[in-house]
Amino acid sequence: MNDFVKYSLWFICLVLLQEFLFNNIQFIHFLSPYIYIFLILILPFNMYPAAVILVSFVLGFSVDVISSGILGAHAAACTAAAFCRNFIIKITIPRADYESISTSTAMYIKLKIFVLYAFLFVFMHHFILFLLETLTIDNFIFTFVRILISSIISTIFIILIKLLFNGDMKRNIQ
Amino acid sequence: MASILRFLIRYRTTILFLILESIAIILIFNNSNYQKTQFAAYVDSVKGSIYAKYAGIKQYFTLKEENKKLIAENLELHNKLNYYINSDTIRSGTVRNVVNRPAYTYKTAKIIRNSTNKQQNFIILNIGSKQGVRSEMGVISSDGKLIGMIVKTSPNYSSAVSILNTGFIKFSGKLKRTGNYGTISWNGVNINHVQLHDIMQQSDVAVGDTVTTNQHSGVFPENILIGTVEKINIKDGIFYEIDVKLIQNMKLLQNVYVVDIHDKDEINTLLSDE
Repeated sequence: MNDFVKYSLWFICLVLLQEFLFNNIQFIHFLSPYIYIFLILILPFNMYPAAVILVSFVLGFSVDVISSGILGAHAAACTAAAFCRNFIIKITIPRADYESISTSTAMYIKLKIFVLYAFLFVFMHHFILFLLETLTIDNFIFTFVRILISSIISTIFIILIKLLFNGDMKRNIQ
Repeated sequence: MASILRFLIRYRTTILFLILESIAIILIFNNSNYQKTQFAAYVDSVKGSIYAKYAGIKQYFTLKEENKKLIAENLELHNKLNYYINSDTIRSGTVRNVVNRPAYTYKTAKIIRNSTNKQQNFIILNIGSKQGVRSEMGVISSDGKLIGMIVKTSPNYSSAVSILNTGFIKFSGKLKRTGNYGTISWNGVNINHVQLHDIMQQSDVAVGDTVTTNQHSGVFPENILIGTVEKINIKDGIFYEIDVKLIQNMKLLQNVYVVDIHDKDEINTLLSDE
């Protein structure tokens, strides 16, 4: 499948899934999982950083528009996290993995490596998002605990999505 | 010229990042402008119709509970009615203000979506501008407790900011026993507690006092229940910070009333002329 079509489908599905499924999950009152950033995680490693930032901004903005929160909060968090993506890739993923095949994405890397990469990225995103959503630094410890626990839950969901789909993708390629 | 161009190309990623991040931050602080646009109303109405179907299914599972509530409410209304019919003093007239029009009316609405897990929580209702809902109308639960305030309407749906929000809107409240009033806000920690500010430290407050809306809000009628005083924190400065336990469980909400205070605009014009 054409890469553009493939990622566009991921884009639409993740935004809809976020709004109509995950935004309605409320385990404990202050936790909310955000899984749509899975798209930014699986964009090809060799994609232009500027293009990654642009896609992330559009993704965050779409989630802002469709959910009834503060417009711009998701866009800001996604853009900032995307800006750090290359750095996070460099410190968590072995060079051989991200430079090997031209089509390679985080979808095919080993689970052990993916967990750390995903968690750092999700944490970065949640950190900015929750601070912008709270709009204050009072109760910082409480906000930090929310960020940490929500990041862990989001990462778990993201790993489940990866496990659910990477089998299929491998078959497609072979 | 060439060196500027080289600079732009070299740092294109960082520059793009800074531009987009600034756009996003500007959007956050101009949020209210966006909420008035036609596009926002369209997105809300599409979402509203999807959530309405979902809420329809969900309602079947709580019918029993809702019925109980309605019966209790009915009973209370009957008792009140009895009281008025049987008391000599008010027999000749109904409870109306001097110009012989009701001071406010209620519109019934169903909640089709309610969040409690964010720091800014919103509630979406199944009535909108076509049914006469406008922003800055109050929302109260079917048994008369404060829930939130309408901030945005589309033709058939409206969204209200819940009392559980740390940013946008502060409600006004008063201590029923003494009549002292202050502002109510939420610190984002516990969904069963809000904070009452601006009560002077010398004033008479006791644990267990009832907190209600005051008559100056222009959004709610007077004496709508909010909660009871649970803890009085002494802070630096001249005011208490009072923890108020909400009477309404914000998670279990289905049927609500939207309060339309009549003549609000007229009163506001008079106030602003002063």
